[in-house]
Amino acid sequence: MGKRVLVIDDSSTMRKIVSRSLRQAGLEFDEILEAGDGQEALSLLAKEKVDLILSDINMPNMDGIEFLRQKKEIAAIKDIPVVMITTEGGADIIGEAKSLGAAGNVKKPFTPDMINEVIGALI
Amino acid sequence: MERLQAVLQEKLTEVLDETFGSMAFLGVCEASAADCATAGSLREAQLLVTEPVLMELHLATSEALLRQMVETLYNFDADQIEEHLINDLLAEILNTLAGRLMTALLPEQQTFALSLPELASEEERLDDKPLFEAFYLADDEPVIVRLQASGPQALLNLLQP
Repeated sequence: MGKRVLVIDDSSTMRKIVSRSLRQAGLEFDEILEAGDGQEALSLLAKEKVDLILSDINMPNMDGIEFLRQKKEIAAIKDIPVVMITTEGGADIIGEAKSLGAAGNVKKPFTPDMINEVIGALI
Repeated sequence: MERLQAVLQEKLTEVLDETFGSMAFLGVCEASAADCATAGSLREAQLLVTEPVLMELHLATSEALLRQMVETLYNFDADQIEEHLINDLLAEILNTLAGRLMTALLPEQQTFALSLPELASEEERLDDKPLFEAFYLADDEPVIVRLQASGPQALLNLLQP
């Protein structure tokens, strides 16, 4: 099976932009899966295998931080790298995400080069 | 307050251009209220900055511009564009803009928090004169940003030196 990435964002626009940026960055994923929040992502990850997760932080229902917290407790998915895509500023929220296992972060608005720089090293 | 107005204008112009450029390959230029007066309908969204100071950021732009951006982004024909895509794009522009603006305004280690963006209407807009209001054109379509703050002096005190 080829590489698969999961994009978690409540905005369908941002999911589209992330998908487009991955392609423009030359990052080859055979399939890009999408979830609208952390809860939907956990349900999807119970059924589907992915190689990388890109997640927003500020989302309704279950935000990106709570998603990281719950993912960390699930053996089958805890080692999948997660890159946070966020508008949030300041070291504390990014620090919290990293302490919960996030592999990196990209701030919006981002360019394909910025995506490549962070994600290229993880796949 | 003159310094606050000047800093807001400079930083907003910078991040608005960056946001529209990266999301839809569009540049923006500063304009006047008269330039932005349009017969076409405007779509509006707002969000709150809840920390470190309470502020409301409001974005209005034309439906025509949003439709054009959705066409570019999704590679759709005009008749394929659904209402929710237009609203979602407007909310995402505002969310990205707010994050970039706060990052540009505040010192590097200063944290901030944003609410989720909500669609707004002219009727819901605050009656008070906004603390700051700026007018732009993107591809000849109006883009209007308004900012209301509960304590402008608190915002001024937090600005990057």
